[in-house]
Amino acid sequence: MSKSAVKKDAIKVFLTSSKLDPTEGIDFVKCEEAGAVIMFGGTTRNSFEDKKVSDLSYEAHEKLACRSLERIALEALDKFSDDGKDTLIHKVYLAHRLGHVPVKEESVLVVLSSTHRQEGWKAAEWVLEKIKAEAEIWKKENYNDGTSSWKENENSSVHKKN
Amino acid sequence: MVTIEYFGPSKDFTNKSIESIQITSLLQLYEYLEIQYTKEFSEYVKENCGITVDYEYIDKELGVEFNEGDEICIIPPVSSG
Repeated sequence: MSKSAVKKDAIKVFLTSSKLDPTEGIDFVKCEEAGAVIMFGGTTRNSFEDKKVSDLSYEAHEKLACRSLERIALEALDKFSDDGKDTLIHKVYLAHRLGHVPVKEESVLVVLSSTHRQEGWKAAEWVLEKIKAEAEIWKKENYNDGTSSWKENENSSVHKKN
Repeated sequence: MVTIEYFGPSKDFTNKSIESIQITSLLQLYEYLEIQYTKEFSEYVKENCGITVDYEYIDKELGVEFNEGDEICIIPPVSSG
């Protein structure tokens, strides 16, 4: 199998309107060579400043967003390797939910396995920040008073892309 | 004709997600958005948004020409997670 085919087997990225399942992500990334599994779930919080949030809703340019998630996952496998010698990040699972996401439920999952915990923590944080900067997905906060507001991530970098 | 697709908050300005228009350049796109919607929206797209042509981001600094049938997407600042 070619190197790129092996790498693509090590990642799973997708968008879905269904409830996200952290256990599915954990089961996907676990492997014999890994000593650590890192799981981050971004969940809907019930407030923003002094406003009560009823839920969040997400939409995406699905083709671009999936391409971005795949690129980020593949980059994570390479970036946190040991100068290309040892595989340190083994598998990456990225999932983002679309549509309405109620309070306490996950909108995004970042799950990965690593040889040691150090690179696992670093890689998971890096992946999440890249997703928030680049994935072509938009969030709307819906408030209890019936109003709503589109959000922008501070680190969004799409306007600089070419 | 080219197709313009609007995503996320850009749809609040246009009240539509897709349209076909007769333009041949990025400059004409900005002019169209100003005339059809508002100067504010045209500036928002120019300063804050990414623009893709056939799913590839363009360099907005360059003078981009569009071809018949091009699919253009307006990509506002993102907010995943």
